[in-house]
Amino acid sequence: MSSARPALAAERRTALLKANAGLRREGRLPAVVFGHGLESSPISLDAHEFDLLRRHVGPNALIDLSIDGARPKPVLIHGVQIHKVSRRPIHVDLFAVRMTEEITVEVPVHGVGESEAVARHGGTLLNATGSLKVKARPDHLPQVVEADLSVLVDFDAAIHVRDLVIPPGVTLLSDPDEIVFKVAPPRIAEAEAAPAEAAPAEAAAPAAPEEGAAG
Amino acid sequence: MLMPRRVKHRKVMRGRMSGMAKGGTAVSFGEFGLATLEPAWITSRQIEAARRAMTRSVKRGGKIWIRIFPDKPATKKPAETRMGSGKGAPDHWVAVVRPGRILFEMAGVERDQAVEAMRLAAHKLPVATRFIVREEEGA
Repeated sequence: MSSARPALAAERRTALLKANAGLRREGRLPAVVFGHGLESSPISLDAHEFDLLRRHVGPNALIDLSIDGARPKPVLIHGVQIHKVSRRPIHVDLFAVRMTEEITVEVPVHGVGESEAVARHGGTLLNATGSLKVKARPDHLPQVVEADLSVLVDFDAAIHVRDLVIPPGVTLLSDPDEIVFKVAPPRIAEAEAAPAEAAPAEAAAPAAPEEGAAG
Repeated sequence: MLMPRRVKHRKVMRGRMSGMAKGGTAVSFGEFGLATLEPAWITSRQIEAARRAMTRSVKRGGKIWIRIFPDKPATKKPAETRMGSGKGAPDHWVAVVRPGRILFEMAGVERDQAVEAMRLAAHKLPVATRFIVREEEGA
């Protein structure tokens, strides 16, 4: 298979549900691989190897997954469940793709360049959407869509989905009118006002607010 | 300070704080977040103190989100009162948090600034916390 893609070795897994705890203790990561027309199969990955791979490839990078040393299959990382406290992955969903079939994915939007509203007027760049929904063949999936921030000259300017340059072979599914980047005015005036506003509320704080029937 | 405008009941039962947070465990608005590692009642005063610490630390720029709201009334009996005679009077407002809950988020500042601001904020809170970066959390 193509050697340009990063490789990931996996083993078939018999431990299911709570038995996966033992697997995680041994440094393995439970995962499942599924795809169009394929039966989903439980597998396990080396947790450290997966961690390294995830840091080096983008969210929509194709990976060659080899199960028990078999012929590698191209897969996408479809979802990673994170433990709420340790913030480590606890389960991975891998999507086995067909290279001829279009798939829908979320692509992150990154800003390039400098916004005048941020650099000169001290605003805060807000990435409202964060990602776009696109449809493309697996070998045409963009890793990232770039947005030129230099058009954000004041606080009224915004970059919409329709302003982004989408690579050829990729269909945009997100709403074109959705805002991707915007610059919020500096917070300094608001921060000064907040304590003044809080003062009367503080005096009234111990007293319970009005008790009334809600809806 | 944060408090509800209107409530259905003036006093509520204390409840339990077992388990982990059910929602609000991902950084959703900003680039950086502060998550709690312990269950606790966080009072509106503590939230306000943490917010001020963060705001002063970053001085200008940046945006801060408060991801918890103190919607639970906490009651207190007057000092030197014998036990009994019913539940005390409403005294302050608390937010119930469980491990994993994102308390604050921040955007528009450098990572170092955010780390320092969150460190100062964490000192105002009654819980152990962890600094979280949205990008590192991934898919």
